[in-house]
Amino acid sequence: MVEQSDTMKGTTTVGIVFESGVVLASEKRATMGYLISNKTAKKIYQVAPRIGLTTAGGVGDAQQLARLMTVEANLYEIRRGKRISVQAASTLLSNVLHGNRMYPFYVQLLIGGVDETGPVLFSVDAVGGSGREDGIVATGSGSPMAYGVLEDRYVSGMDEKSAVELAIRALRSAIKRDAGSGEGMAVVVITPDSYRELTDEEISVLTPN
Amino acid sequence: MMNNNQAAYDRAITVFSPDGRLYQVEYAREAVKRGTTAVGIKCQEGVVLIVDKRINSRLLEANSIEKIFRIDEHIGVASSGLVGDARALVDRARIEAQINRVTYDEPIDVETLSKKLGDHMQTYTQFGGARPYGTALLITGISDGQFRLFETDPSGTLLEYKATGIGTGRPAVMKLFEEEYTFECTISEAIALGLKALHEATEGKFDVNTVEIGVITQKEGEFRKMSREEVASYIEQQQ
Repeated sequence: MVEQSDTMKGTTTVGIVFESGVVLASEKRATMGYLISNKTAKKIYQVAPRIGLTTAGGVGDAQQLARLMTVEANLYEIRRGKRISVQAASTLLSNVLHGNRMYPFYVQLLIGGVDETGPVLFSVDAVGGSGREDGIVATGSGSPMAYGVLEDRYVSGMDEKSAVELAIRALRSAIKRDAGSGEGMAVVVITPDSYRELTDEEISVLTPN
Repeated sequence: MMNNNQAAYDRAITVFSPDGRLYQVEYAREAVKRGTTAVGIKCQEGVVLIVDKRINSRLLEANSIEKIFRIDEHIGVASSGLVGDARALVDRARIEAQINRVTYDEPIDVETLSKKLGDHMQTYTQFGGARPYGTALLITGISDGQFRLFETDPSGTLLEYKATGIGTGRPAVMKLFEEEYTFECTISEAIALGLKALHEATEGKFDVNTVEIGVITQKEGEFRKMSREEVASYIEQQQ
């Protein structure tokens, strides 16, 4: 059995569906026990032109899955002449994870982006259990703190700016109270026209004191 | 007696002849040329497949012959050539369609499925110990709101058509389509054109027992084979 605690040793990731897109955000702390092993860990990967994957859990497992999903998305597009949908990508990801059920990837993932159907966001667990998220989702050890903020402030159909501010606010709470989360933040905004990672300056301007 | 020139280039393993031909593949194409006629027509309302089953004994139960197959909700195929080979391809197509649903939670594109079948057929022209499929298929359906109509042959070639025919009657069918085909017609008009083509290809030797029709329309959104009654009514209009 994969206990939740195994896949939530550190990290906070947040996903928000807004009016025209998806915000994915994470902090940057990687830990080995009580040691902060990396202060600039990459936890959000672009696996397709308009799809991002956030990772929590084992770094090696997460990176391997991100590489695999990138390759699969490329193959899908070149073979079929159209981009993979978020639904298809998350289903494929679920299949890979469930196929390794007996020797699982220690991860908790969010996969989200924009396709022909609009903004779409899924959470996927270590053994392939996936569920579509209509509004907000958070994973990792900091998720309870993040959820407190998200549940309080999320409004369905909110605009991009409010969604980005909310993601940052939720991460900030997690960073302040969760020992497994900290250092800086990474925020990605995906809309029909772009996949954009915010700069540190943009993030610091939007972060409340 | 075997012509000295082509000796040993038409055995079980497909090998190029000195003039660059693959006799086994050409023989397989010949099996298709001798097959029953099947036509496919795209129009603005949908796509239709019509086949002639060529029944030459009154003892035969006509409905035991099947040459149009539903592959998935949105895809159907018609075959010409060796029926057993067609069935093997159809089974593979049905499995590929379901694999796509399991893998991506999406119905497979007609083009993707056609390419997979073409690729599969091609492997039997290159690897030893097997023979090519003696079958051509018309693969039709709807993907992303577009109607598609593909034709595969034993070499694995894949071509997309607005209207086409395979089997014995191909030359007659193509001649008629070149002259009379138009995309701007109703599905009933497309069926009428298909039956006319089949009429020419079979020199009028067809009736409700020997004709099979498969259709997918914008309105229905799903591939289905027509009932005997429906086929009968179209043939009646034809005559």
